[in-house]
Amino acid sequence: MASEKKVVFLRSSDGEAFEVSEEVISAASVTIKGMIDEESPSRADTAATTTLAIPNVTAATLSRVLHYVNKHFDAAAVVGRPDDYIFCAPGDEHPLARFDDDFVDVDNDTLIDLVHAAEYLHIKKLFDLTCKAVADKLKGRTIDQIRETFGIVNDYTVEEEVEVYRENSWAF
Amino acid sequence: MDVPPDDVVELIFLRLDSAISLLRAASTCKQWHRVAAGAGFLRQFRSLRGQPPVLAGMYYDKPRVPRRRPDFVPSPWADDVVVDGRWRCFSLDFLPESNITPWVWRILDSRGSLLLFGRLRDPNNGRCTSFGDVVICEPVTRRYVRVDPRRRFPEYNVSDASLVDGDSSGGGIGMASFRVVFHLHTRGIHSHAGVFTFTVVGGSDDPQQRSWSWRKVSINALMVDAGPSDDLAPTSLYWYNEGRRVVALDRSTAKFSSLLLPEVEGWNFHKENYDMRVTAGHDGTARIVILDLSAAAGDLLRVFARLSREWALVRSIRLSAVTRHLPGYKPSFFNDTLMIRTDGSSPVVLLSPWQEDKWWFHLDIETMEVAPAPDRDYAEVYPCELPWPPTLRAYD
Repeated sequence: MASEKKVVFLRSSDGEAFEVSEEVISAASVTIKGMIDEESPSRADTAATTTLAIPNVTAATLSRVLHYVNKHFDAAAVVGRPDDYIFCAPGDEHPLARFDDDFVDVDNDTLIDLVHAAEYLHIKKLFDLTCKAVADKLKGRTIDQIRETFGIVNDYTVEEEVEVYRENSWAF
Repeated sequence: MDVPPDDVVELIFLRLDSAISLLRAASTCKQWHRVAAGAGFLRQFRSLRGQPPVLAGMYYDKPRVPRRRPDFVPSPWADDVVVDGRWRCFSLDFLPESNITPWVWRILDSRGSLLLFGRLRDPNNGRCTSFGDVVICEPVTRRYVRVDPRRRFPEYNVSDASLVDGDSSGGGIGMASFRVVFHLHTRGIHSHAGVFTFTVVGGSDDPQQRSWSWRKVSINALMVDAGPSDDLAPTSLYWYNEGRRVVALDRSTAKFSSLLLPEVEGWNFHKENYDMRVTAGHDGTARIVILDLSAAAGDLLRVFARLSREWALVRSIRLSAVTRHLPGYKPSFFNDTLMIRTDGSSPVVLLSPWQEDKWWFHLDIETMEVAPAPDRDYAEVYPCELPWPPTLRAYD
């Protein structure tokens, strides 16, 4: 019985439930660890599994987050299953570097959703990874390209925009 | 797309690769602008990024090829600025009287994104300027300020001008905040420094917001009562007259300090007898390099370093001996005094005789390695960085 892994269910904002090892998600997410700790007195002697509501994260994003969490925080997975080797090339500084690169190689909306989810769930490694990926998408682009890429609305008045452009025009 | 809250935008911005990416991202909308303009953000960006001021490139000024504009060679690290091949922002055609042919300005100094120009007089006379007015300019933003030290200090001669960081709270140097330090002298005695401090309140372009002040500092008084130089920056400016006391001015803090050189047997510390430079050793700390000009010592280069608390003579280098194996060597080169150049950042100094012929060589003052150097008369090199910090203000 002790060898049986405890699991929890996470319910996304759109109602889909995902099963994840309690040990793994607790190691990854400060937020969920806090929720589990709060729940634990009431569930100590019951066999029932816990379902936690994650109201700020959609199923599509949550499944990506859990994919990441299982790769990075499940000790058994990190040691390596055969299919991990496709992510791992000689010279990779970290065995999961290739996985991380592929993980953030997504469209901008998905990436921003991941930033939000990582922030809400307090998964520092994922937050760092996704922020860096957003920063990488900003570099080397003009102001108009950045607005277009991220759907940013230019909300300066004409006078403000003239001022902004004049003061740093060398960089544009 | 959901817009990330300010704190998330800030964390994304801190991971940007350069100041240029930051400025572009920050200019897309008010929220992003506000994040970059937030208190302490730019300082944090700088400390995380290491050295965000990016080297834009080098100006090559050719003092011996008079009446010709300096050439600009962009640095490979500043690629981001070359959008659509636009290097025109580094041209100097915005300078006053730049339409005059021949070109009348020569570079005297550079620091950060600024260049200091003096007026051309005689191309064969040392630093080539008459010390009339000087021009401080930022090529990237095509702005300049003109300053005339003679009007303020008519009783002195002015022999040198250097850029020093401004007194704004953020530190650093830019068109919104800088100082120029002039060496003032009468009859060869460098008794005073003239300090011009320029600030634009709020860092904006508005001419109404400009303020400036002049200050005259007695070097002789500092020789007596300046605090000790605990940490002499290799890029400091310095003064010496006679005796072993040297006054230094830190170019980042604009603080004066003084230091005492050790006694050296059989050598008279009079300013006629030596040419002094401060530069850095391989460990980055300051070295004082003194070229002996007295006839008795001839071609001797002395290197001083700070050991524990005191300055000590760590090396005496006989230049005619260490260069003997170099191609083109002539013993007669060392019958007269040599010229010395240093860059304030490395232990490699440049030396050449100048009476008989030019024969430049590099000397590493710590390893004693020597190597022939290209003709220094060809060009003086002045690095120029992209502006930092950028001008950002919070909208709403």
